[in-house]
Amino acid sequence: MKYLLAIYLLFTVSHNVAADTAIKLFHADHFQQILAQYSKQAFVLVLWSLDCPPCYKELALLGRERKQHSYNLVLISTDGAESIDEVAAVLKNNGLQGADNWLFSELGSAPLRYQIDPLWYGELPRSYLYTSDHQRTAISGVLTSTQLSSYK
Amino acid sequence: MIKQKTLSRTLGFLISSLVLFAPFITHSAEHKHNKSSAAISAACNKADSLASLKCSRGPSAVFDTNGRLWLAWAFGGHVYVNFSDDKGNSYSPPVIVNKTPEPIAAKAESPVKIALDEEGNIFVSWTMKLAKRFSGHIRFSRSTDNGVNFSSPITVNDHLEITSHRFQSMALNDRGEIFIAWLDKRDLLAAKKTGNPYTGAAVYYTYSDNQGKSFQPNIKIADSSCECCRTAMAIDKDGMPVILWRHIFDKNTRDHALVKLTDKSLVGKVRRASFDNWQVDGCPHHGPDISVGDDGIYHLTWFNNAPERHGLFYANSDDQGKTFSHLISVGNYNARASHPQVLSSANHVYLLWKEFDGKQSQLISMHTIDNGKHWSAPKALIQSNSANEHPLLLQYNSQVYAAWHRRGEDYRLIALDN
Repeated sequence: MKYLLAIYLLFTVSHNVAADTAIKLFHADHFQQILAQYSKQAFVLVLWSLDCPPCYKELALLGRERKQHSYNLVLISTDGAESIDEVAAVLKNNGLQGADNWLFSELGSAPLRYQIDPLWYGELPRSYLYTSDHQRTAISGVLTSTQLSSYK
Repeated sequence: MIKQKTLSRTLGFLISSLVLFAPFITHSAEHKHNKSSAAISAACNKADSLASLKCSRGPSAVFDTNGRLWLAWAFGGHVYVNFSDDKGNSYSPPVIVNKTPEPIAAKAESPVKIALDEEGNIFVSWTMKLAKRFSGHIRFSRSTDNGVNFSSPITVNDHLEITSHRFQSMALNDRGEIFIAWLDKRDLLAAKKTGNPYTGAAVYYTYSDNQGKSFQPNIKIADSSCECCRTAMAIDKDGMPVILWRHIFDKNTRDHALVKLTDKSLVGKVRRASFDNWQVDGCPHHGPDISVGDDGIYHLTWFNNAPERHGLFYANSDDQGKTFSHLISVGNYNARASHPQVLSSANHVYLLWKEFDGKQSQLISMHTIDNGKHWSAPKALIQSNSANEHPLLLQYNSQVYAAWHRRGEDYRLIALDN
């Protein structure tokens, strides 16, 4: 009974955490789903991870930009499901809890990386600027505000 | 502390389950493939799973002089050592290295390291995670009774503030002197305190000349290394180590640098070792490798991703890194050739790397018998659907092996063609 209560409490707590920063687990089919969701819309796709120091610079920039104006922002952390709490905390710290947030179901998964871009070697941060007809420009390393502005 | 961690993991798992059911899951072949890989990992993530090489993180391996394969790896808060007397077909029960558990940062780019001296003493090093993100201490333990007992771990970085001391490499020479080099952010920390700019991390090293009983004060090799790529170390003909790492040249050029110690406490000239000009303000998480031949030739392999020059490369140097041979491209860039290893054995040089075709990872190797002038055709060795770490090259007598950790599967050793 105690065990069941503990499980119940865990679910309650986890629900609250998840409600605060909605993060969806990213599986193989979800990339196509994202493309469909932003059909005929421009959007910025950014891949990041907790163990990438420059990613924090990029998240700060994206958070600041979102305060200035709204734009479609899809963020995918490559950390794996076990890191969801830490990922949620970092997103929130940067004011990015309202972005379209995803988390790799498996840490650094090669098949998931391949779905997004067969030629992406895993360097982070990695950004894609999508035009409304879904032509994309890939950028490795921290985006500059000029690059982000050029997209607008 | 441990309970908290377990709780957090359980919480994460439950959240994952909740979120997992929320989005609309379709059942394509791709999805099934992914699930099977995830299922293998999930078996290793069960709270009651026992410490095993199969479910470990960051294993490394080395042969002793009798052909026994020794492995060191992390599981939970412990580093373990075990061995195989039949070239990886079966393994001994593991022995705990650190009796008191501690958070361990062992993963593909930063595995646990193991080395043995000629007397059979076993030396193990790893990175202990600290409270702040990106922080760590370099830990070391030894066994002087053939792996039955290990000494209480010591921290070899003598700067003990909570910052990054990570990505260590370790090697020992014929005199039994042990060298450990790593990426260190003590200078970045100091610069921040005084408001000065500082790019990247620094490379530091230390050595022990008493069989790992203690280590000497740390010595800086260079400022401004890349922060999250493994370091590599090999021993030159004179017993002094050569260290190779990804460096930050100019503002953001992530090429490689090399140094040879001229004496145990004397750092030689730091030389640039690759010239691909990859400009990136980011983390490649993709470090180089080096091996020194009996003839003193340095063999280097690395990854870079500049628009004009990208992929895996090999080059060698017959003058201790002053000049380099023509570089050659290695592997198939379109199949994401990555994480290369190099090993020189007698007059042979072996290269080993991973490729990925969208569904499977595989190991590929090739070798040369004339110091890189001609190479055998690349040969596929083994495939994996599981999450897998970087491969290693090992040697016993004249036989060279590829070793590979695929999480949830048997640790594999594959003898390479001569």
